Amino acid sequence: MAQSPQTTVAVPGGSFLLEPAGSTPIFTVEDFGEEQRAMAAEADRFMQKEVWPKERRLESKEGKAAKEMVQILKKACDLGFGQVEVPEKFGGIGADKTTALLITDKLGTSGDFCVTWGAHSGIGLAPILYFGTDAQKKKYVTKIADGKMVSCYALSEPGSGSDALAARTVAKLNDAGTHYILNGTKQWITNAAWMDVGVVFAKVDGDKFTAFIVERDTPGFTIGQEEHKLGLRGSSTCQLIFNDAPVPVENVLGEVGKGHKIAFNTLNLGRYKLAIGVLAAAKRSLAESMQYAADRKQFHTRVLDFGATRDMLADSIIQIFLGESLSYRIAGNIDARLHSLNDSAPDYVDQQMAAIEEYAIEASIAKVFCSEALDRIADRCLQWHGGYGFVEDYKIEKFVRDARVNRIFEGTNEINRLLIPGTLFKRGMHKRLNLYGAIGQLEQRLATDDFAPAPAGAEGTQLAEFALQRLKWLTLTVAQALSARHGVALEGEQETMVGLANLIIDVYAIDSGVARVIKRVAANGASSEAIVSACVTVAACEALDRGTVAARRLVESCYEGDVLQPWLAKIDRLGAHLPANLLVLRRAIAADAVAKGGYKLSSY
Amino acid sequence: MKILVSAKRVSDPNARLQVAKDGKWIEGDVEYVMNYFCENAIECALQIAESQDGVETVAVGIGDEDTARFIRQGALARGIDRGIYVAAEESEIDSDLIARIYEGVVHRERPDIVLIGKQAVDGDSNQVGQLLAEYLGWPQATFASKVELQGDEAIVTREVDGGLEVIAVSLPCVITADLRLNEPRYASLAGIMKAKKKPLEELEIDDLDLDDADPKVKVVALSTPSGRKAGVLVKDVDELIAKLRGEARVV
Repeated sequence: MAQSPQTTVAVPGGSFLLEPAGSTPIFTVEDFGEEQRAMAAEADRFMQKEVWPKERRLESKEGKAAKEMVQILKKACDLGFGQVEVPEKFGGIGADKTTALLITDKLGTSGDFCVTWGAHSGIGLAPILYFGTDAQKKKYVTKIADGKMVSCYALSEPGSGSDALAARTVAKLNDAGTHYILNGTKQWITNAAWMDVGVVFAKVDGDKFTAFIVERDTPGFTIGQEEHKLGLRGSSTCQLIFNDAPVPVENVLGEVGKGHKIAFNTLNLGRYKLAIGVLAAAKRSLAESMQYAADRKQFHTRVLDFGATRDMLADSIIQIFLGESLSYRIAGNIDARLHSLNDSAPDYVDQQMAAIEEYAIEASIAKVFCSEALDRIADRCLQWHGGYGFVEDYKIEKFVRDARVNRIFEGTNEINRLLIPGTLFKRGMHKRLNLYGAIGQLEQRLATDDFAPAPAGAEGTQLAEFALQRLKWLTLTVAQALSARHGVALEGEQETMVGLANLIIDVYAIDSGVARVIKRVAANGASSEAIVSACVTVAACEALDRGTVAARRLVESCYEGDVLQPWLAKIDRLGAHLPANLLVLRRAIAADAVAKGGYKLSSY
Repeated sequence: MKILVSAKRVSDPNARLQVAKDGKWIEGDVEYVMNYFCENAIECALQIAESQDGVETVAVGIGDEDTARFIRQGALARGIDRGIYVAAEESEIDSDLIARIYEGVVHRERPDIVLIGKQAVDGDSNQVGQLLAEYLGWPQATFASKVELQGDEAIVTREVDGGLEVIAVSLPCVITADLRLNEPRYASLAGIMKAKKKPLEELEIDDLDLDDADPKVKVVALSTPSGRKAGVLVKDVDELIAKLRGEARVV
């Protein structure tokens, strides 16, 4: 089994908001051992040799290129990448989530392959792996993992995207009781043209949402035309069309009427993986664009040496560092929970799903944070190219096109943003998370502490820790204000929920970065970690500036007059503009990246 | 049959190297990769082992501590049976000493074939295979682009100036691998996991009882390439030709 060292513990999901940064150690990429690094290096090599040089041809999907992506997919399976998460008893290598995330990371550098691979070995395989019967696993898992069958996952429909449970595809048991007859259409199905098998959702008798394993040669089942997409053109996206298609009853996946369980758990699994994949794309965009900006001169100056360029560069480096920190932290937390489970327990699968669901808030944050980081980074990288960014001579135009859909699939970023505070409040009310206890403690503190506006003589990460703690308290105060005003109706106040989500996203990203820097400083000393320390300091100070203004606006949106004033007074005590020369730090971050030729704040 | 293959780590040719303050070595966060030609040698050994029964393959790496990792991940993970790591300060060994270390290992292991990358892409010395053959008194086939075993002979196609040369060398022999010999395989994840259980022997140079363990070549100075000079604009074709003839002396 490929396992990471256990460096973290199973903290409750959402507790990052309540506890000080670094109060429990987090898993970071620095923890990976030699074996995992070797796997990562091989995955990286595979992408650079087998995929990167073929990207333009794959996009055409014409002639030989039509089948080329499947060949690459199969080659990746030959090397065992499909077996990463498959338990040893089904011929896999039974890696833990951190190792699996590492492989996803390294295979994520090309959008077309990343999405093809994710649909096949991730969401196309995981439902069978977790919810399949032994017979179903024997029949499909090894074949999918070995690449003998290409898999896909079919949830969306022409009329139901985000509202997945409103699906209209129906399944009706035939008179003989041997087959469910499927009718309906599935939309945006990745790998559709190449699929041999797929996980398809339909409603039994029109109301019992259920998952089925459907094989390619099912009568009455056809594949639609290729969609013409903005990006990810090297991947296949078509409709799956069912016209009285009989699916054997033994291919019902999980229980009839329990399809939502499979659908939602698959999303929980997929979101933090998507996050690391898009971050890998961001790193590549940055590396290739820095090379361009180093070669291109205007006004006798390298584009890379202009302050305006470097400011964007510093921002990109910070975003990548934070995204990396939070994504691997989630995988580490899930592993810590999974390790304590007994795999012969009768409800083992439910316990596994619960371990993953525990970090649903964090997974949504990861998905939103990283997909938006990629968009911002790719867009800026294109900007450095000037006019050349707008033509196909350089790959950046493709990177920008490929980036966009990540804010749409695996739950739109709006859906994910709503889930973040929504889940937090629910867990608070059900006492799964001590949210209201923490709010009460803060209340007491506000009565006794004087909350100095800025720390005296703060050094290194102290400033970041100070700003982060203030941001957490601000967020708790806003949560308190909003739930006091709206109660359960808050869920319907989407603009407000999104505003609160933005605060929580900042908290988690910076908390993860700070915890990682604390760990690295403890291991290597402060002087060798000056740049990562600068990254979290800049991020925390800027987030506190932003958060203070946002907090005011949020309480102003729901209170007025005498009731409003005490809330604003609280925010004024907690919020702070920390006097610090962030420009110097940003310049140092950018200069370091230029000297080292890219994002080099981690090496794995 | 036993085949010894080389597994040398080299600084990544695409990385930016910094010359150390004493001007004699490199420093900083240097990224290393497996020497490309060693990858070809390893692939060749694996193909021979797969094509016939009873072939044992052994990878040899000489250098800093990290070299052991390259033996494991670059050779054993791909399928080489076991490894031998000889500890040495990379800044203090030259091609001759490396060849003598190989000679020492050959005396211990008694292989039938030593397959070595034709050169390492860091120092580009291209000497070890030739020196080793001389010290052992074995035939050598350098720059191999094809290797076939027939009885007690290796039939080796060599890439030479202007074409190919096919030679037969009797075993035991030294063969140095060229880039077109084969397409090196990836290590599978299963291979990477198996590698950690394969034997990897660690030796000091002293363990090899070499008659002569002194390097003959000292690095006097290292420097980074100077920047390219700016080009010159010429008025017309006549001036271009005049310059090509007079200054550049290329036509």
